[in-house]
Amino acid sequence: MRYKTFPQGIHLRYHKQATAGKPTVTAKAPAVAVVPLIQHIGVPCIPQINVGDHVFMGQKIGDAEALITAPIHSPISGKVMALEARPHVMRRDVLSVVIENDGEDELYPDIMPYPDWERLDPDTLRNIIREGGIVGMGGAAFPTHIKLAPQSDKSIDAVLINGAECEDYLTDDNCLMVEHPEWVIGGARIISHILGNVKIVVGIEANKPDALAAIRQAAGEGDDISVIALDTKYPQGGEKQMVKALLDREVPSGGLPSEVGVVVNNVATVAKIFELITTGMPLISRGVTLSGPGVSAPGNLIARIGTSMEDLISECGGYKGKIAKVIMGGPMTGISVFTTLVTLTKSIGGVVVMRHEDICHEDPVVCIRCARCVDACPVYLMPISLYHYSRSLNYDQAVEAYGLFDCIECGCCSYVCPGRLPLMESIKHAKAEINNKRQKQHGR
Amino acid sequence: MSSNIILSVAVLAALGFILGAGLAYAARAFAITRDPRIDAVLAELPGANCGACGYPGCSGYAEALVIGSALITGCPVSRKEASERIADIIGQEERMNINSDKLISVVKCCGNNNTSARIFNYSGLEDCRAATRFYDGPKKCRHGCLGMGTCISVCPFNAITMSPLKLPVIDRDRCAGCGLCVDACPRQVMVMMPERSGIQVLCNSGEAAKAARQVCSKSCIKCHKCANICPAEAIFFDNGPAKINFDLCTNCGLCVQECPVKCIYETNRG
Repeated sequence: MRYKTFPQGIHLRYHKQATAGKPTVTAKAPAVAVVPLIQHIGVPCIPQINVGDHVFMGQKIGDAEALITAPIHSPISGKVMALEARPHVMRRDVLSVVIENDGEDELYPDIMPYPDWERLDPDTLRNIIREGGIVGMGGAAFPTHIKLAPQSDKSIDAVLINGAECEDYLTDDNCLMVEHPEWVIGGARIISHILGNVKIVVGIEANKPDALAAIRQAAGEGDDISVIALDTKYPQGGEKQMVKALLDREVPSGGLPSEVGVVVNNVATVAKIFELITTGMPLISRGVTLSGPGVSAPGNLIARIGTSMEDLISECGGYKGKIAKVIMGGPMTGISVFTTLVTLTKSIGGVVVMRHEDICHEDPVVCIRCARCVDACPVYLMPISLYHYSRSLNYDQAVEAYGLFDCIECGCCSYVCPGRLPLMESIKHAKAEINNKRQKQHGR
Repeated sequence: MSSNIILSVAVLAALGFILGAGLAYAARAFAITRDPRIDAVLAELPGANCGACGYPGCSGYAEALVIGSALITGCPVSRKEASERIADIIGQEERMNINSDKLISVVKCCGNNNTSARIFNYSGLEDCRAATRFYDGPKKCRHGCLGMGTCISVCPFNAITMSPLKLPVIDRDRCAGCGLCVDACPRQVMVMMPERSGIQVLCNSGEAAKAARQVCSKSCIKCHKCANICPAEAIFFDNGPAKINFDLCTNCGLCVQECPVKCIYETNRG
C-alpha cells in the first residue's frame, strides 16, 4: 500500500526503538524550578510576581501586553527566590523566575475546568487558550491563540492534527497518542469548534501502528474525523509538507497554511488544549523524550517546565560514555546546548545525548556537483546555490533569484551532502543577515 | 579575372565610405555629452572601488557627487587634499566637514586564544556573525573579538590578517579607513581611530573588574592606574574601559608600563 506523502525529502535512520514501546513516566518535580520568561515566538513576558512572593502551581508569573505572546505559569508551588538571567535553550541567558519548591503542589485557586465549552463562543475559547499559555509544542512555540484566529478574509475548511513526529529519536508524541488518544481527539474537536466545526484530519507516519490504531479507535465511526497514515519520511511533520500530503494543497511561497484554508496543530498542543479545557490546568508540564546513545536508560517523561536538563538526565539513569553533545529537540532541527543547566521550556519535545563516537567531526570539503541537496529539498530550492551566495556575501541575490526565505530549515541538504558542506547553516545565516539589514533600514 | 578583383574592392570601398559617413553623422547627431567633471572627480578618488560610500564603486560615487546627490564626506578613504580638490571641481561648500585626520581601524581586544576563556567548542560556520547568533559566541567574554575573520572577508584593501592566536592584525599602511570592518563586526570590537593615535586601550569590556577577570586575563579592570600616572591627563573613564583623548596624548608610553593587566598597547610600533 502506498501512503500519502509530499515530494522529495529524505529517509532517516529513526533510532526510535530505544523509547518507542516504553510507557510515559512522570518525572519528579524539580527542587528549584528556573522558568525563563521567553518560551515562545513573540514579545518576551514581563514578570508578574516579586522576589519573595509565594506562588501557587498554575499561577501566572509572566505576561505581556502585546498581541503575539503567551503567558507563563508557575510549574510548582513555592517561594520566588530570584528574578535573574539564567542559561536558556536559545540564548546565553534570559531573565528567568527561580522558584523554590515547597513540595505541596498547591493548586492556584482560580483554576477551574470549562465543562460546557461547547456552548462558549470562539473568542472566549481563544482567550482561555491564551490565558492557559498554550503555544505550538512541536518546536516552533508560536502562540496557539493567534493561529486559531485566522484573518477574516480566509475561510478555514480543515484542521490538520500533526502526529508525524518525523525526527530521529523522539517518541513522546507517539506515547501521547497511544496512552491518551482521547485527549488528542478531544482537543481536535475543541479546535474544530473554534474554527466553525470544520473537518479534522489527523496525519500519523506509518511507522507508528500503535498510535494509528489508538487514534482511529478514539476517533470513532463518525465522518468528521479522518485518520490518515503517512509515509515515513523527513520532514513529514513540516507544516507545509503536512498540508501537501494530507490535502494535496500547496501553501504559496511566503504564505501560511491559512491561505489554503488549513490550520495545522501538533498532537501535543491539541492534547494540552483538551487538558486546559477539561481541568483548567495551564501549560506547566510536557512530554519529553530522553534518548540517544549517551543516556543510560532512555525513556519518555512528563516533566514540569523549568526542570533542568541535568535533573531530567539523572532521572533517566544519567550519562553513558564520554558525552560530546546534548541536543534540545530532535537531532535534525534541535540545538546543541552549551550547558545542561538550561531548563525545559514549552517547545522542547526531546533531549538527545550524543557521545564522541556518535558525532561527525569531518571538516567540510567541497561541492562535487552531485545535486543530492537539490533532490532532497522538500521546498524545491537549490541549497548549493544559496550556499555559494551566502558565502560570497551576496545575500540579495539569494533572496531574489533563489527563494532564500522559502527555506524551512529542515536540514535535509546538510544531511545528504557528501562534501559535508554546512548548507543549511549558511542559509540560516543569510536569512539572519538579511533580516538584520532590513531592521537597520527600517530603524533609519 | 582582374576586373572581378577591382570590382569587389571598389564595392567594398564604396560600402565602407557610405557606412562610415553614416556612423560619423550618428556620432554627432546622437552624441551624449558626459559632464567632464565626472572624470575629473574620478581621477581624484582613491579608485579602490571598496563600496564604503554606498555607491557601486568610485565611478558611481563620482557621478553622484557631480549630480549633487552625495556629499564629499561620503568617501571615508579620501585624504583631505583630495577632498578639497574635489570640492573645487564640483563647487560643494562642504569643506568645514572634511576630516583632516586619516582614520584607521583598530581591534579593541587583546584577549587571544590563550588569555580569553571559552564557554564551549564552536564547530559551525566560520563567521563571527553566525557564531554570535549561537549563544553569543564561544568566548566567555561577550565583548571580545571572536577571531573568525568576518572583518577579513569584507576588507577590500587586504589590510587585515589573522594572527596565529586568532586576533585580527591591521596593516596600518594598507588600511584606508573605509570602515567596512566596523559595520561587519558583530561585537563592535573594531573602531575607527585617527592614525596619529599611537597608544590604544585594547579592551572593549565594560564589565566590572571581577566579572571581567573571570572571563579574560587581559580585560581592563578599571583600576585607574593609567589615568593616575598619565602626565598629560589624557586618560579618562566613562562607564567602560579606559579611554584616551588623542588630542592630549603625547604617546609617552607610561600607561603601557603601568597597566597591571597589560591591555594598553603602542599600536603604531607593531
